[in-house]
Amino acid sequence: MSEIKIISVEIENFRQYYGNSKIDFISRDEGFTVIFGYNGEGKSNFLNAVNWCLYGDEIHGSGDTITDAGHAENKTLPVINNNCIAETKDGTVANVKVDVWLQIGTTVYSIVRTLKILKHRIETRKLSSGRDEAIMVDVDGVRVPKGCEILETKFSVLEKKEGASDFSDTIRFSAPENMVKEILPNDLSEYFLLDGEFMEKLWKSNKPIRDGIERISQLHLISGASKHIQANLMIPGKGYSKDTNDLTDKMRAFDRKITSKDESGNESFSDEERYKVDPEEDTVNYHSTGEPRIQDIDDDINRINKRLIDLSDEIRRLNLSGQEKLKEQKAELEKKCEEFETKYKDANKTFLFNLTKYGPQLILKNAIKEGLELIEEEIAIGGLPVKYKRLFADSLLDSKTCVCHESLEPGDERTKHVEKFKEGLIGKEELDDVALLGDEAKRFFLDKYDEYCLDRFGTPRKNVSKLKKEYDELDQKLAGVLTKISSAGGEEGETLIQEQRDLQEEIKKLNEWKTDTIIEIKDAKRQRGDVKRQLQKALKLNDKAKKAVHELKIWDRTVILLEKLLDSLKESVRVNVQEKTWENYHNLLANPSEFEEFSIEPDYTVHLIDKFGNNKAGNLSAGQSLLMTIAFVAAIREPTGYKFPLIVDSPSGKIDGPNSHNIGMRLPYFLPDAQLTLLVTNKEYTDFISPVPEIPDLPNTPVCKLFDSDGTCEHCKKSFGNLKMQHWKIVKDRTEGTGNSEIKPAKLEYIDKDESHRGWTVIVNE
Amino acid sequence: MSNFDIDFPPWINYGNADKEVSSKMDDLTTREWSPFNGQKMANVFIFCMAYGFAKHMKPVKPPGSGSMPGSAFDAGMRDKMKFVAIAEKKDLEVATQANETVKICEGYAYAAISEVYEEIANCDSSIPPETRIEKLIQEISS
Repeated sequence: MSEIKIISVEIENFRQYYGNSKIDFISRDEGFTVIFGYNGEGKSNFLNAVNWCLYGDEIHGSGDTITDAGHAENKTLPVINNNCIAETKDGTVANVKVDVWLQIGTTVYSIVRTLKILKHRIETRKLSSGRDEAIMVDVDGVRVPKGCEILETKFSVLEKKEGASDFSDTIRFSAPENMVKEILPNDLSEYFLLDGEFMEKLWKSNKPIRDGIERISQLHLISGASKHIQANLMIPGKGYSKDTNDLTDKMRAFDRKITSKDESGNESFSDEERYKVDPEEDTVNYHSTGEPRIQDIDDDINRINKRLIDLSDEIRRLNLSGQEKLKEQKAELEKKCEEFETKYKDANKTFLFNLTKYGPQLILKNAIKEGLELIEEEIAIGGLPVKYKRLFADSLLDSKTCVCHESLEPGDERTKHVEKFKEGLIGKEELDDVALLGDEAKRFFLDKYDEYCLDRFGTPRKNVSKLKKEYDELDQKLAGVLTKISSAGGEEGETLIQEQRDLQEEIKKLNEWKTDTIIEIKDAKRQRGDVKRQLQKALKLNDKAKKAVHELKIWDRTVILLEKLLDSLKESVRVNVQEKTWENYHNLLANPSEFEEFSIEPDYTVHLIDKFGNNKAGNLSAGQSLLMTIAFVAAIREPTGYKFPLIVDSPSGKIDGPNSHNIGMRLPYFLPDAQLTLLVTNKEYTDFISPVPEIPDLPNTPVCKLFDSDGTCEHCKKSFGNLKMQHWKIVKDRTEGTGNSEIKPAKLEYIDKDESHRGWTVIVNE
Repeated sequence: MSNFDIDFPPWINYGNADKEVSSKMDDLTTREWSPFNGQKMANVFIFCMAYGFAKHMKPVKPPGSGSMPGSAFDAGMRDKMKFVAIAEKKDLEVATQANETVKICEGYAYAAISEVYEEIANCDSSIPPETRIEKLIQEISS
């Protein structure tokens, strides 16, 4: 594609630009166009004007909110200039117009967006101070004072071919929007109308990286073609037989499932609502099935990740990182407390069980003693054990000799006495168990009473006390941490941390859902393949369908080739962009040794590895992020050949001294074929670069002089830009207090009034 | 298995027919404040029996018939019952007669249960169950 150049931008009554302001841009061969303005004078609204003209919306100031009944909170001004609307008489019309002239090759295009606003009586509301405040409303997406009517919105693209003396309405496109879409697609606008805020956040999500690589490389055209063939051309038409018709219907049903379409071919949505960053956002539902649903899930995960990063920033801002540590301590202590509570409860249970189980033994100590005495008395008199008494009787009868040495002959009176004694022992054997019981009670209880008490009561009691003490200490620590938490972040912090937890849960849920959906798609594709094979078989049997079968084979092969081509291009562009971004970043960064490796993985996750092996891509400082984005945007242009102009708002607004110096030295040599327009403040352009203690010899030369000086910098030994700049200055009317701005041709000049008023500035040409 | 175990009654009577006692037994085995919370009734029975005997209470035959299964009384419990019976009768043979032993023990347990209940239940609610019973054990056994 030929290089696209911006020739001019003409603004009329757009926001603070009262009347007519026109800027002419110079080409890259001629140098840089620099639009200079102090903060709040209208640099960002210049970017908004270009965006509004091309796409009908504004990228800056999206913080406006519309309350109920369409009433807008007056965070920003209406789209029409306040002065202009005030001067317009009731019942008459005021115009807002932005005209952007672009050149592609030798053809010039005039893209004009005009708004005709009919003014009636402006409605106001009383503030508590007594002052009147104009009420703002959104009419067809345009912010205007209440009481105004949008009479006409006109958008046109005019074309002037080489050699033509005048513009003629283009007839190439049925709608001018399509023409703009072809020249500078809206979804790529953020890669050429570079907003500082966008640049700062680019690396916090994969989506802009993927879009940047795939869309700017036009790879989506190939993937789109492949999808189109698969959806429309790889399914034969109907009309061959009932069987093939049924199989075709089945394939289409699977396709609908994979692409989340209903039977009429419209997109199909589920009941599940998508994630909203702001609860006021319109409700959008997830696609019902298939790849669009995966895309929704991926987008939401990205949005949630972005929100998580913002939340971390907010938490950090609230000094809640310390509280996070406290939360970790709290969780750890809670876990320990739980552990010790369980241990303590178990030990107490054992102790209590011992008390109820063995306590009666202590209570019965005297009874046991008493019983034991009876047993011992019985043993002493030979009454126990009964077993021994029986053995004694048996031995007398066996030896036929009595204890008195008299013989014991059978039938003798003496023998009968011994036999009677033996019979009398029958049934008394159990007394031996009682004797045994006494023996055990003596040996294991009474003789070792202290040990018995210690084992069953003393030690368990000690164990319980120890665990209780440890538990109480932990509990006290926990209470201390809880007190610190409640006093550290307050309710706001609690809410933020809770949101962070909820979002982490949500991501987990979405990932699970994504896995399920991938499985569903795989399954649908497999089944579709089976049906397709059946269909091809059935078609082969049908003479009429021979041509269709042949065509199907061709489309099959085409899709395979396209997919292979897409994969290989994607890979080559990705690697190319990765290498080029890294090279550019190295050139732009004042201290490139901080990072050791940069990679864009096949899933478009970005890894910027520091010397400690940490990935810092998501945690870049504002300045590092801006530089990285410029490096990336430059890199994605090269492999794609897509040469769009760049308008960069605040390119070094948040960059420190050494990096400002480096940018000032490198930017003139950067993107040599890109038309570059910079929207700058004094701080980043004309002010002397602030010194840093670490680099005492860093020159304080302002960026403007690094751009246009000749020769070599003594500090970094690099060549100065030797570049010409065309200056424009945004001039705010401070005398009337209207807040109006104008853009006027300007020049760079050195002021040397006195000690405190010495330096470079941009002044309006006389 | 000894004859004592064979003859051990299948059901032991702690006084279930006495509604007041029955309710106290329920409280002792189910209330948070009770050291016997979650334990079987046999443990309460043995404790009350020991308490009643050690405090020289007059045994009282519980009304009604047995309601606790004899199988709930393990060897250790039965040994304690035997000692109570021996000490009561000053005779060793009673420890071989399960029915007689059980009868003696039922008398002491039934006689003591209300007092044990009062001692345990009527404490300050801040006193944990283990302290309640430990104090009681120390008082009686000292």
